[in-house]
Amino acid sequence: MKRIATLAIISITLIITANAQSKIQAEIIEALGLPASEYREETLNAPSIKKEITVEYDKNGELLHIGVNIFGKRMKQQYATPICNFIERLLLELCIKEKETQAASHLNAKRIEILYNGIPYGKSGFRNINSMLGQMTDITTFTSSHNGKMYHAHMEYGANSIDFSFPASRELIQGTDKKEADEAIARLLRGNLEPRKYTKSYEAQKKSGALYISYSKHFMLDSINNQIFLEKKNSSYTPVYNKKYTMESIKNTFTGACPTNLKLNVSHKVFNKNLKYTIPLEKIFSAFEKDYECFTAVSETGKGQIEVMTIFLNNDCNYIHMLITKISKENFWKHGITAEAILHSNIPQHNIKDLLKK
Amino acid sequence: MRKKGLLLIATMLLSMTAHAQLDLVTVEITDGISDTTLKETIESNATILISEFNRTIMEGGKPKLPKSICSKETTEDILKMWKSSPMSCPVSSIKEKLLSSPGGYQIRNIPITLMNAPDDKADQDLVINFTNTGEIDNVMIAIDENRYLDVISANISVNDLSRRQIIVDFVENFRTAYNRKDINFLNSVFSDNALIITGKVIKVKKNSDMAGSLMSQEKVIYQKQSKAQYLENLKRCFKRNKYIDITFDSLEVLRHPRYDDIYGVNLKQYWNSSTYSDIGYVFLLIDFKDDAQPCIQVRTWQPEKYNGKQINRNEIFTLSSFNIKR
Repeated sequence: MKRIATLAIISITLIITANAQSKIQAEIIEALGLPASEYREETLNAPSIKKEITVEYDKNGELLHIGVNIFGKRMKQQYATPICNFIERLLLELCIKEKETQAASHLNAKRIEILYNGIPYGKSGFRNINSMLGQMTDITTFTSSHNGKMYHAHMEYGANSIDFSFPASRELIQGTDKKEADEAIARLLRGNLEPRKYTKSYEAQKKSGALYISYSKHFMLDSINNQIFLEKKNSSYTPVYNKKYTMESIKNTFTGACPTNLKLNVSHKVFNKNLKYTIPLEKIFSAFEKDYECFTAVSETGKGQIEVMTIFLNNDCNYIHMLITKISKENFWKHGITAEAILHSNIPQHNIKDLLKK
Repeated sequence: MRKKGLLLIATMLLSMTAHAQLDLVTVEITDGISDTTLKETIESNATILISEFNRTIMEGGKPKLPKSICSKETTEDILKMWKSSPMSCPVSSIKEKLLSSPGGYQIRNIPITLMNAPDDKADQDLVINFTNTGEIDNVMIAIDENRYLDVISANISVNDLSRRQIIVDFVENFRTAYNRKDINFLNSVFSDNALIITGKVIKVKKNSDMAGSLMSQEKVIYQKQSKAQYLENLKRCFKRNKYIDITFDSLEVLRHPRYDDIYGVNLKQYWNSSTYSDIGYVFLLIDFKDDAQPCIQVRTWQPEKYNGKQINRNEIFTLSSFNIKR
């Protein structure tokens, strides 16, 4: 349902939770002249922008996204939502910056390229994004992919096409800097999360002693992987979780294959701060289940002590969260135990050339 | 008629021989044992095992292993493995050295193809363990053995990688501090004795005798600043620019060969601000003596180009450019 919201129409009241929105979103809202209010509408029109604007908020009423309305909900569910949102927000930003002839320098500074029917932005035939948006019809084709460093996205509508090339950078795509993103993760982990359901089935690749090992992928090193140790029960394979196989059980638990009552005293290294909170390990997996792949390495550090490195990799925006947990083999099996853990969040991976140089 | 019959038999024999040859894999030990009889026993048992795997893949069913090559328990283990991981050997001849292992001997690096694995996981290596008398004791896929051991006792490189990822996190926070104009954060991460070197491109006028005219060249001069001077200049920069937007790319992290808690980071910096833009190479020497509070001991900046060319790779500051004494 569309409603017209202009400065003159003050009947719609909008409240934005200041802490949740990013600096970029705040700048857009200020540039459009929209008062700080609670958004009740999903689409609205701003007089200076030739395409309607989409606004999304979560169940707590916190602003999640603002941009030109190109993809629609269904298309975003089908494709990578972060990339769709990035393109919508970018085009809105450029419309605003075009007023001050800053759009080209913005693209240059961010190392973003946009081609309209093969014509680079700024050249004859593609000098104004706002005008282009005004003539845009429904998208018929959209593809996007990245090679670890750069994203390439292609969309078509009618006989026209738009191509985007931009760094596969979390900050650029999500529109939040390190501080904003770290604080968002801290809020997520301390908020309410749905408990996980353990429905995954496993295939055994190979036997190892009395156990089986699942097929797996690794992250940077072979020993950091998502391999699960399995035991055969009837005709199916289930993750092992018993005292006879402590190391394997720890590996399985920290790769998210086994439910656990274990709690963590997390020391979360956010930008310029060290936040401390205690949360169940289950909650971390609930928070990161949907958008991340999980990889683990388990090592003995002596005297029955174990150190676990868990990597949560977000492929869409090319960054990781890294959780380092210390626990003893004995304590792993005790109820009510809290282990010490350090969390580093939002570590970019797109700008790394070589991390393993000796 | 007789000739045709003989021809038919010959053809059948040829095809049977070819078929047999397809599944036959000969294993030859090149080194590692002086006992000739035991060597021949091990070679024969390994040949029978691998060839039987190939025959089973071609004809179906389960591997049939003679009692002479392995015990009943080992046969059962191999058959259990076969259920989830049937395999074939893509080569007809294997030549490997024999290794000693606890309880006997071992042959490694036997190439196999796992028939049920995804394409990118299908090619693996098999390891065969033998008893002291040459019987097959155990068979396992090498990558699983390595991964199993690595999983159980992750080697030092995992710790090193986690430290390097912490450095990437630190560098990202460092970059964010510039963009947020957070002078307090920058003050906290630079050592009080930090060495800060900045390259500056200057034009040098040069006489040309031939043309009688003046030509200018560019060269880079290096200026040293203390932490206090650098931060003071930075404060002024933050004040005169409405925004600072720097990005880092091409990060490389190197650990000092002698001091485990000293790391060098090389990166490419794209500096954009309201009044100025440039591209250059930054080197950071980061001290992790205090894990909770890493600090920057050295920061250098050099231009990406001068005289219209990329700066020579050998000119760029690295960890080896500095002599560190603790």
